[in-house]
Amino acid sequence: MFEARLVQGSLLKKVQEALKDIVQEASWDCTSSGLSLQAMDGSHVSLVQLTLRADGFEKYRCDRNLAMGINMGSMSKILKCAGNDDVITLKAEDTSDRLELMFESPKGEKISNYEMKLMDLDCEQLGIPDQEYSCSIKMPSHEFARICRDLSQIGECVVITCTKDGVQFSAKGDMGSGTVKMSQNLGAEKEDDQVTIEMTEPVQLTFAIKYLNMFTKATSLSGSVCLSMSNDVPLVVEYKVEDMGHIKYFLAPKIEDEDNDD
Amino acid sequence: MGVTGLWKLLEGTGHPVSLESLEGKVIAVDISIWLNMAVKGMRDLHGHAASNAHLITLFNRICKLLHFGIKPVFVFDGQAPLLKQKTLRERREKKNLHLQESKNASEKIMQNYLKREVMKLAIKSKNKTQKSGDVQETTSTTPENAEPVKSNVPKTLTDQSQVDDDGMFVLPPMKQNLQLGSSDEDQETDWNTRSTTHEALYGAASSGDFADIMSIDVESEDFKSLPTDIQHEMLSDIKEIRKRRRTALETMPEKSESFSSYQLTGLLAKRHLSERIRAVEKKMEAQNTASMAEIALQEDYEGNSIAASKISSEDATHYILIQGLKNKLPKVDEKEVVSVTSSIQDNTEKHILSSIKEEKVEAHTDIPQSSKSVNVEPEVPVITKQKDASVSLTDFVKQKSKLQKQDVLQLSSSDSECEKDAAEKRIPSVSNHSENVVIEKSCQSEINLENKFTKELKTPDVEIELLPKPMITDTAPSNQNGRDTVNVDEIMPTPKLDIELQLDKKVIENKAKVIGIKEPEEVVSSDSDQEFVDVESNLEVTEEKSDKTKTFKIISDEEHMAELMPTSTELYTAPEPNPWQGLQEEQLVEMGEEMDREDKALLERMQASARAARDVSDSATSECQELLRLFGIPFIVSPQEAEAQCAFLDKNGLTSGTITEDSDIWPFGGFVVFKDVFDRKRDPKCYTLRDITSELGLQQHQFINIALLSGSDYTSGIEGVGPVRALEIMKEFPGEGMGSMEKFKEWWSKAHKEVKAPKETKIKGQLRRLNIPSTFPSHIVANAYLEPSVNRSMESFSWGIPDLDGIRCFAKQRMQWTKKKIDDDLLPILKKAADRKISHQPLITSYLPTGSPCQQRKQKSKRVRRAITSTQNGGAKAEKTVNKVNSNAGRGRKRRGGKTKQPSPVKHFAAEEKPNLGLSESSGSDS
Repeated sequence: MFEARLVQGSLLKKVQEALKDIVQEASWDCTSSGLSLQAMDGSHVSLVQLTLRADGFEKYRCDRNLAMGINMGSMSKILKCAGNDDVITLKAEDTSDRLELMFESPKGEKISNYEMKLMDLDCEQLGIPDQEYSCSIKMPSHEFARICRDLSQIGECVVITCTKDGVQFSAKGDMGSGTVKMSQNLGAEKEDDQVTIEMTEPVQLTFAIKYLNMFTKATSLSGSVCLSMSNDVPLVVEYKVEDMGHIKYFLAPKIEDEDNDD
Repeated sequence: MGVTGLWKLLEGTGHPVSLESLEGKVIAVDISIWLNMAVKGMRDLHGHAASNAHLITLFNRICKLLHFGIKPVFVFDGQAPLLKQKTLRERREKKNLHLQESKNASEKIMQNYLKREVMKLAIKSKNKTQKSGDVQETTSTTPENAEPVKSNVPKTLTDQSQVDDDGMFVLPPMKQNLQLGSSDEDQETDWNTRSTTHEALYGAASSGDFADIMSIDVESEDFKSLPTDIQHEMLSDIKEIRKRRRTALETMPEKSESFSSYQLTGLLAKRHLSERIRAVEKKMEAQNTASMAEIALQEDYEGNSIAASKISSEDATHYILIQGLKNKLPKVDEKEVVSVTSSIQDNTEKHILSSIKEEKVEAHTDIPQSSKSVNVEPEVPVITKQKDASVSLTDFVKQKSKLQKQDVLQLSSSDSECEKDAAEKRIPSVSNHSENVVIEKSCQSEINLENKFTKELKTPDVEIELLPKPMITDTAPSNQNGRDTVNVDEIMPTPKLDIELQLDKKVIENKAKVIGIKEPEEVVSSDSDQEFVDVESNLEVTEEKSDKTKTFKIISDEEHMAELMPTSTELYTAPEPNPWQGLQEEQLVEMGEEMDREDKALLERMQASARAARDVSDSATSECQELLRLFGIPFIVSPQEAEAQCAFLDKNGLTSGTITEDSDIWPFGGFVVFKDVFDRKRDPKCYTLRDITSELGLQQHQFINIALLSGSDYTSGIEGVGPVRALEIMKEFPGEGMGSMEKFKEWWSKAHKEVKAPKETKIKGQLRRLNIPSTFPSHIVANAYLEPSVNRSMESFSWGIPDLDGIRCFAKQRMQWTKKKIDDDLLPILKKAADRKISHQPLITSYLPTGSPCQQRKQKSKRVRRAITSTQNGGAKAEKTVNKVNSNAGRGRKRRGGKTKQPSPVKHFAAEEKPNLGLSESSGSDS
């Protein structure tokens, strides 16, 4: 028996929004410690990893580990039926192939029940090593989204260069080029508006913007985003999900040399 | 293809793969199976097999592969290994069968087509006769349109004949007239004549009408009163039919005891017939010698300018060339058919008759030419026959008149009203009927003679008999045409040109054939210029005609025609019981629809079988290679099997997988196989040996065993054993590689001999009943899989830049593509390829270590599950994986240990398998 009650139902809605573009089907793993999900996009270039800890739920019960194969499209449709203030409860029997979703309006006058079919999914899990990154940049999430959106008009790739001065995003394309530079800004009033750069060595990496644009769908989850980079490893774009977990995107950098054909 | 039923067994182990994730990978593509499929599977809008299917398929697929940044290496089949040739031979036999089927279907379609045309006519004629029958028949008979026949006798023709000659070319416009509903008698005449010919020609010859001939009472007075030559021919026909179609005519006795009496009666009847024939022959001979002199005399009287020369002699035959006779034709004619001609000749209106007469003249002239010789016998009978035929023809034309020769005189002068009456009434008088039969018989015998002539040229006896034939054949077609015209006219007031043309064409076909046969003969027998002119003109006619009727498929098969014709003849022969007569119009329409359906089905079948019969030609292969060269894609021609080469490349790390549909790749030792990559209906699936081993406990040796048991390209296997049974056998008789098979064989040989079934497991009981060939297990087959002949070069591949201009040129030439289409297809791909050159997008999986794949597979059948548990446990390796338990347990239990702690099955095989997914072996130890 699995049961999880989330008072702030809108969180789950946002999480769903953040996932549905990048993965069509994913397996939600339910353990006693919480909900988690890991999935690659169709082209296996990026990976999304979600963690929602058990303590973030008002009520959480998981007798036995469950892997719920969920079609993200269906899940989105059902979650759209939930109001932003609704309390969402997820329920599943151990042997059932259905997930029950219950939406309660804040005052408790309306209760909606939905049931979603689960699927058998064939997923490959990647091990994510704990790693120290050369750079980690924290910046307002909407700024990051804006930069990605703007630069995607210019070219298909963005080069992220992180130096002491700040972080520079640049793109080149047929019509020209564009560069956006963000500098440290510790003086901002709100913590979310601050730009902080922690760096042990400079890093320059190239990424396909289309993936970044998929990641920024999570912007609404959190006011700030954290980019972690090291040379020759995937970029990590992390959004906090309140205080109950996070959603992390991993993106393989593009390699810009002709010799390496493999 | 491949190991029978293996894919089905492996189905559950494949996992969907996105082509994007294959970017930058070197993948071998087994093109041989593609080409086969492309050639057989691709159709254009109309369902015809596309001629350049292989190129289009290849082009599209190359584009697809390049679009996803896959680096393909194409592998072609080489020579089929000896083992496979046996299987290939079987496949070829199957193909031949398909070819045959296709041919049959096309024949049937043709038949149907004819049937339908005939029915259209029937419907139309019904309407017309009801509505406007009068109109048609009141028009005067001035046949200005001549049959092509007339061109055969240009010199004898008067002014009218000039018109006639033109008429031959005027035929097509007639079509319009007819369609407009005009009912010129002459057109109809033309028509009728032709259809009669056909009726006459093929009516009796057709299988359905055999009964008619057979029902003739040879002993009757009526029969005996017939001219001897006709008697003779009918008799020989009957004999012939008896010979070939006896079972069809007389049903076999049901009791076996009566069979001998059945045979005896047959023999007696045969003997009786031959006696009759001999008697008639004798009579004929007597007549001939007499008439020979007569003719010779005639010639003397008529033709002062006739020059005769003996060309060659044999024991039984003499060829004599007579020149100058043609010039005298009109006169000869007059003499021969005095009664008929004299009265008719000036009568312009009786053109039909004159035309018939002309034919007759033809016949006469030809015949004397053919054989003035010691055995003159053929001539006279033929002449008499011709006379007879013509008389009966004229008679036939005036259906009503039951008159013999003299009557013709009167009738010929009688106006066309008579004809119309006759046509309207269509009451076959007794004599008419009989004459019809006569015509038929004679014509049919002509055909028969022709047939015989072609068939039995060598037998001397027959030759004597048949001598006149080459000559007759010359006239026969013309006669046919003449008669045709008469009949069609009579019975079909609304001639339909479609069919007319068709009939025509067939006549021509026939003629052409006849000419073909005749020509060499003539070269031998005579040098007469006139003869040659004749032939030539004939040929011209044929050509012209066939041009006109190009639209129709020509059936050159004579037998075939004979088959086809009955339908039309049945319809046309009004005097005879008409099977169509009783039918209502609706019924006809219905039948037409039915035939339409049948046609459709047949067409489909034909196309299907034609497709199946198509083969991948060498030229197709080389064209494909040329295209690959233009794309800068490397390819290998395997010494033997493409799959073996692919497996070799895979094993040696030269490629990271194979795109194929052929399950042979597994016994050859493939590691990673991508299936359904180009299947629009299914998603690409990736099968890895790793998954298969972990789930089914199968490795290369086991695959070979399965191949040995259930059959593959190299061996037909054991009957009744499929892959699942093979798994069970391997479970029952565990052993290393072939050892398992040997144990199985050993046990079976022993168990098979035991009379009494001992106590044994159910499976063993079933296995005991199998029939295992003595050669099993064949080490040759096993070795063919283990050590296939492959190109062992370890050179790595390189990819060039597609030659855009070259491809454009190629596609334009071979596929008739426009530059725009080519550019639309190619440019985006080239751009993508260029982008890839600048920066390359690696996969996330190359950075993050692959953990354990989930074990949620498709449920396997109980039998398979039972069988694998033991193969895995009892197999060569101890494959006790946690996964096994998990895979059979419910979904919920799947990751009991948590995904990171779970021992990865990868580890078990990492040692003997090649590195699979980039990082997997470098950081695979993290789990």
